[in-house]
Amino acid sequence: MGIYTPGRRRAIALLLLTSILLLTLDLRGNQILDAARNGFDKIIQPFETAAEVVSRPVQNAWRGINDYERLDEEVQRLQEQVDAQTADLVTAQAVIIENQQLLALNDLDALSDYPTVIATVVGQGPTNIDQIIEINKGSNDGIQVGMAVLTTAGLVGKVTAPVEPDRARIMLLTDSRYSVDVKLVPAAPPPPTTTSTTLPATTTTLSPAPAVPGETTTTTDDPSDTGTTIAEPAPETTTPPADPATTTTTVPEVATTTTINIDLVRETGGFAGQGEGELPAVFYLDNTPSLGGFAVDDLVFTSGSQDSLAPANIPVGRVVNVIERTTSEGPLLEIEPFVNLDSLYFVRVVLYQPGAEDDAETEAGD
Amino acid sequence: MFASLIQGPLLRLFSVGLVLVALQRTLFTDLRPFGVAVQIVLGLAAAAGAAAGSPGGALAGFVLGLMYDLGVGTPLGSSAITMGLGGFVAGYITLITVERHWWLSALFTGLGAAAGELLVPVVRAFIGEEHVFTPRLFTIVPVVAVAAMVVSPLFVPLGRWCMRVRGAAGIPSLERVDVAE
Repeated sequence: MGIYTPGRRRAIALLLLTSILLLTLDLRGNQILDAARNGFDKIIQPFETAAEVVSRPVQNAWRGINDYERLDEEVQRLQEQVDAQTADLVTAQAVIIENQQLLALNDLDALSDYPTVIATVVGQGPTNIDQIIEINKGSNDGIQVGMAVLTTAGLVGKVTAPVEPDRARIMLLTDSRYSVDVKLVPAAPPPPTTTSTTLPATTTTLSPAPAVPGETTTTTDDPSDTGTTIAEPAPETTTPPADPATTTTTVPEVATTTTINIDLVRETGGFAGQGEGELPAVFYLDNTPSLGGFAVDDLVFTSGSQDSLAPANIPVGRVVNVIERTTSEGPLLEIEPFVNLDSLYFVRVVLYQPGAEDDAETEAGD
Repeated sequence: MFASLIQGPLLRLFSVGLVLVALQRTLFTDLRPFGVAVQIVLGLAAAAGAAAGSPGGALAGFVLGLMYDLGVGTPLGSSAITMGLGGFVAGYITLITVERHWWLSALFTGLGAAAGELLVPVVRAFIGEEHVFTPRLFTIVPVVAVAAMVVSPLFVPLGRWCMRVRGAAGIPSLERVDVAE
């Protein structure tokens, strides 16, 4: 008897096709499959609670074996950092308060306007591909899929499905499926750009009617409107006409100096994770050398655009590498996140919904 | 139909799978040798293949993979494919032996788990995810395989029980587990 009868081959092929069909349905979004997932979560909940209780001693032992030395070293390193940064902290707090007051005065949105939920990181994702952590707060606390998650250092990621009543999963910003709109801010304010232009000398020949021989023709430029400074020109000369019927006026070379104050935000782009072990990157940038280009150490913040899931001005990271590519592709910037994603203990979920979603909800309500 | 459900392997696979998915979501999110999450559900799928042959392994992998997808939140069907293949490979390579020892079963379980884990980035790339082929795979696959080998003395008998295999000395009996029936 053959090892694989046609019946067995058909069965294996059927299993494969069923998997592909389910995969296709799930990726396209299917309510039945979502309901099945929720149902399974409810079924597995008691088993998970039991597993947590049973495995806690093993977990604690494992953590004790693996993390003790690392934590000891980290405590020492952090203590040194705290000492060094105490003075900076006071200064930074004063600047933050001043910034918030200015934003409030100008009726601008600030990150502190949005309510947040503080949660504890209770575990990592069970797969080796996805960059996911679990927190101990869920839909009971108002957490929804897509909400931004951060720490005091900066952006951590976003809430991803499924969100359970008392538990949620966070997709870290290094996950290859993560993306958010960002803006780039130079680490230090750029010096104003100054350009000098020299206008060539011009000669004008006037008919005798409006001009009186011996009179000087004067042209006035008002630089105040344009931000352009015109250097003091040499006095104009009027050449006595050989022909008394015409007047020739010569305007000498004029040097102009233009000063441009560059906006602090150089460019916006798309920030995307590149998977574990790889630095996230910013794409879709248009390198404009006149705006100073991109430089290592430039800072990256969320832009808070209309469709962005994260509010504006959340610190994301620092540019560590600028990779020039073809003109159509634009440069690629590798970003080092401010947050140390390997040691997350507490995170803050911003209960923020973008304007586009608010509008959609309003329309649905109408 | 109800009788066949009770007498078939599905009910046993479901019960054992629930416990293993719960453990995968709790204990094994922390137990990460070399930073790699040990895949015990995949380990059982491969062990079931080593115990029950390739069709049984494919069936066990499919069922356990679906449960894993439902419980862990990965795209539904993706782990069913990878674990199905893991079980199939573990069962297929048992054909090279006539008499199997426990260490051979462990080896086959490890190889099946390695094949399944290796297929994970392939399936993810197939569904459009980027940057899934990273150098870390050279760490992930061996660790998952070795972990499956370590648990195989427990998981091969468990897989045999789940698949209702009554073969002497654990020799795979392809006629006994016919997924077409």
